[in-house]
Amino acid sequence: MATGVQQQSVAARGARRRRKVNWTPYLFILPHLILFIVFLGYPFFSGLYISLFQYDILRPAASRFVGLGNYANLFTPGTPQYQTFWNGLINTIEFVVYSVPPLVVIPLLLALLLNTRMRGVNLFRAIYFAPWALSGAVVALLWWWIFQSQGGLINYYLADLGMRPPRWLNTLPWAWVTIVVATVWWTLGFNMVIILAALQDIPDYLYEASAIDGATGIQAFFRITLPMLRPVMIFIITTSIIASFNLFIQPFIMTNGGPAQAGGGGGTESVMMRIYNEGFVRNLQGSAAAMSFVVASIMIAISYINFRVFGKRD
Amino acid sequence: MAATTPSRVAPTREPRISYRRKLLIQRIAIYIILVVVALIFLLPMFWMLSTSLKPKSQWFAREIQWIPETFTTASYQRLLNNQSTPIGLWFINSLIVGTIATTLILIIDSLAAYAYARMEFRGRKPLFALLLATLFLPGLMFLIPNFVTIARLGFLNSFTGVILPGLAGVFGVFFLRQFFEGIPRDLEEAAQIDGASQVQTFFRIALPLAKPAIATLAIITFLASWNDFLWPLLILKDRELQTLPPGLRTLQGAYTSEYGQMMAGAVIAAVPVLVIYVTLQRFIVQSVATTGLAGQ
Amino acid sequence: MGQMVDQFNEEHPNIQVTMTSQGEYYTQLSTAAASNTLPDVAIVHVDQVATQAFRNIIQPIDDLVGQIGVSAGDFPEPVWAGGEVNGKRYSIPLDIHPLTMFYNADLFQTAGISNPPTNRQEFEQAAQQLTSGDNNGFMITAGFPVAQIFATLLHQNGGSWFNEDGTKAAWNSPEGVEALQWMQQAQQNYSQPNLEVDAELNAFKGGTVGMVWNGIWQTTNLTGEGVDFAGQTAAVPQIFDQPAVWAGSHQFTRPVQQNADPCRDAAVAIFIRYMLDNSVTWARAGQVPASNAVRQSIVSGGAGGAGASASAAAGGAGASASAAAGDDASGGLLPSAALAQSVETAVFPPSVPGITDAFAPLDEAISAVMSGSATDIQAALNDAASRADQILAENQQNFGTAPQQ
Repeated sequence: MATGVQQQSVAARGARRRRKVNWTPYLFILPHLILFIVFLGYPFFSGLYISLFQYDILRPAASRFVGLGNYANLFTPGTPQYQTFWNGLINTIEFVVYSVPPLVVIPLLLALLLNTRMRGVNLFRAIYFAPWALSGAVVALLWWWIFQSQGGLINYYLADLGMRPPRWLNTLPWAWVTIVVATVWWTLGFNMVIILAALQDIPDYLYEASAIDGATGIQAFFRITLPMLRPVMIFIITTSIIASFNLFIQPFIMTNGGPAQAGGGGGTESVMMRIYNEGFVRNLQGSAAAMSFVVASIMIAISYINFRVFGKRD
Repeated sequence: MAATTPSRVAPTREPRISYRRKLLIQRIAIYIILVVVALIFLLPMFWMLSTSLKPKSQWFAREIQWIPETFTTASYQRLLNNQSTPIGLWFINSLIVGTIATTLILIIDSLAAYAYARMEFRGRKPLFALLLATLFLPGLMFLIPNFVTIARLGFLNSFTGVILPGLAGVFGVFFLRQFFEGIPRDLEEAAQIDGASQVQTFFRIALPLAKPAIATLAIITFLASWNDFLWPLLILKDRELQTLPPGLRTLQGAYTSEYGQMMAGAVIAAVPVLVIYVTLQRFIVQSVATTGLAGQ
Repeated sequence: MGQMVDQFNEEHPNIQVTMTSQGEYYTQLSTAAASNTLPDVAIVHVDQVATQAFRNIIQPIDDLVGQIGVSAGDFPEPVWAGGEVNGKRYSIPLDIHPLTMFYNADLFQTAGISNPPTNRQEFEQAAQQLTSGDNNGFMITAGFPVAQIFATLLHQNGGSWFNEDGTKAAWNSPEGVEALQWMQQAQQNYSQPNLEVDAELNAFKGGTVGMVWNGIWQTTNLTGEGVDFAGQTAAVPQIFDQPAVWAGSHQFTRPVQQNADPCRDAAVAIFIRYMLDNSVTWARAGQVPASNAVRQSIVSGGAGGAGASASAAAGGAGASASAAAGDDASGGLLPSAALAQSVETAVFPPSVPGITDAFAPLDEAISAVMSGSATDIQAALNDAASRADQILAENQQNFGTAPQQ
């Protein structure tokens, strides 16, 4: 910068020109941008378009423009979509409410316990993180196996203790318990590792100062640790909400959306299962696209509120 | 934290012993909690292993046997010899898909992230805001249109079709941009003064510094691909092309109740990943610690 | 199935068949259709034939029926009818897989019951006798396969799923209510409340359950090596006035191909013929062959070979295959032999596209009743029927009246 003084007049002309022809940044973003346009931008609009039709990819000739009909179905009681869609959506929101607090609090507590120089901490960290390396299908299968009522581990030991165990997979709210347990067990490690890393970045002198001021460990936690963790916690809360909103494989395998409820729709059927069913089992792909957009709007609204509540970021 | 705080309290003479004892009790308590939690994490996996090694008639024995009364590898043999469940092939497929997807995402995303973090160009801010907004859209809404696109491009039933849409993801760009923004500008400016072009600066200065962040993204990306169920299920038709998650699902088909084989399949799918994980885990934690994400 | 295909390939060096099987099968079939990679032959469930036909995934097979050498008389009427859509034949039945009763013969013996029950009185008596302490005489879940059990009882009671042309649900009839009431009673008297899917199988394998009703495909799981005791199969007893049993059926279809190829068609015909004649091998896995001749050969042991070859005479490719059928059958009674008779009274849904969609509300209603979350049976069935009617109407509008390209 400072070296350019003598050459300024020469450079000035070049600079204006270079400004016009500096394609480097565009070349850098180009590969991603192209893919982004093809697989996120285009499908957004094509999905919007499809949602205005009765559409089946295998029967293009039978496509029929229905305007906002697919959306109207979702908001008109009595249509085949109405009950099951809202049931799925409410279930999914319920799951978000059940799963996000443990997915945030438990990793935080574990990270606090592990943020020491005690022996064996690395081993525990590895163990807690390990399930994240399993595929969702495996995790769901495993917990289904553990919770099933005949010879399943949990009921076996509960019966040993003289309790009358619930039918975990087939009654509410227990079916949610199984799905939340499986989910927390599966993904807790990721959140924990991120919190742990952030904890290790909090400078020691802050604690030393507060200790000199006579603060207890708990006071230090609320005055120093938690405020310092705020950006990370926002990140974790947001990603956990999004992940929980996309709930699919756990109920798909563990409960198949059950238990059935009077009036229609399974008690643990997620909205993603519903969209999958509409689009790929019933092959009403226009209607499925419309459902996706309604869900997306709600998710965006929730994310927005989340940011407003937790973060006055930047 | 609870354990480290007391060490900073200036000790007085008299309570020294009780302080030590307190510390000891505290440590024991922490260890007990850690061990109990560890058991919660390990026992299900052990149960999976144990079931996979039991003969068929003992899967539902009335007594719980943590250690099988009679060991048998029958479930594994049946699974591995069954032509309709080529689990070895699925494993390799998952590995291929995961590796290619991860490599490409790292290249594409690090380039884009650096540009969004460090370069001046028209439309930078609105473009990046647009990217960020899509982070909140549910993946499922792209399922059907992308399926149509992939079908039109002729990539159905191919790894290309499985990998391609994932490359458009925004998470990696966001994640790496956070990191690049955290690098002190001085280093890059110094390089540019020395006459390095933007491209050279990126490759010689920024990229080497970003190694830990890239390693973290690599692990996150690979595991996401490794675990992906729905998309490969829709795209891949041939049995020989399946990846593990949809492949394993066929073991739980409507007409089978081969729990031993399901558990054996789960073990086969899990063990190599766990081994890789255990060898790399120290690195994962360290790398997360040095990303912009954790250091804010 | 793999074994049969291997054998076919060995015996037909000029035709090579590779088999693939999939979870979420129909999704995969759609994918294959969208990518023009459909196979030459596909097995489709009977209740999916119309749907797949209307979605342009499979094409009429009328021109091959002669080559294959089959006709209506070779199969029980309902299973053959299931392959016809809009007056055209789309599929050839391979097997019938009925709802089946599995019983623990050891428990039966201890209780002094000599034969598996065949009617309501015998069934209820046996179930009552076997229910004591930790043991359940009969176990029924609140999920799969209660809809299949309901279908069996509904039809035994003279009811029907749908009206004649498959446009309206008809299960909310007095017959349907009575059937579901009986199920609820059986659950209260002999079973445990609110069991999840497969719980009855798992308990049965544990040896504490006298009888369960599930698909015949559970044979290898619940009999023979699968259990520590003598697990046996029998036809589901006739609880009401008429013989009837729910069943599924695997049917051979010819998927749509971009370019017609007579050579491939000929190979397809030969392959289907071969698989039909050798469906005894398939029967070992616990499926009942759809072909009358092969089924008779199972029941009567080795002697049935003659019947099989007789029916094969019409087929150009059948000659070598029929002999194999005879050999295989001589191995003695197969588990499915006990079921051979009952499949003649099997009931299948009407050949209407998207018909399985209309079952979803019924499945839910039955599960809701069996899990106790719905208490008014009539109301639950009514509600399911009205929702099914809407789905049927929507499907009609969606699919039109005939398959269109």
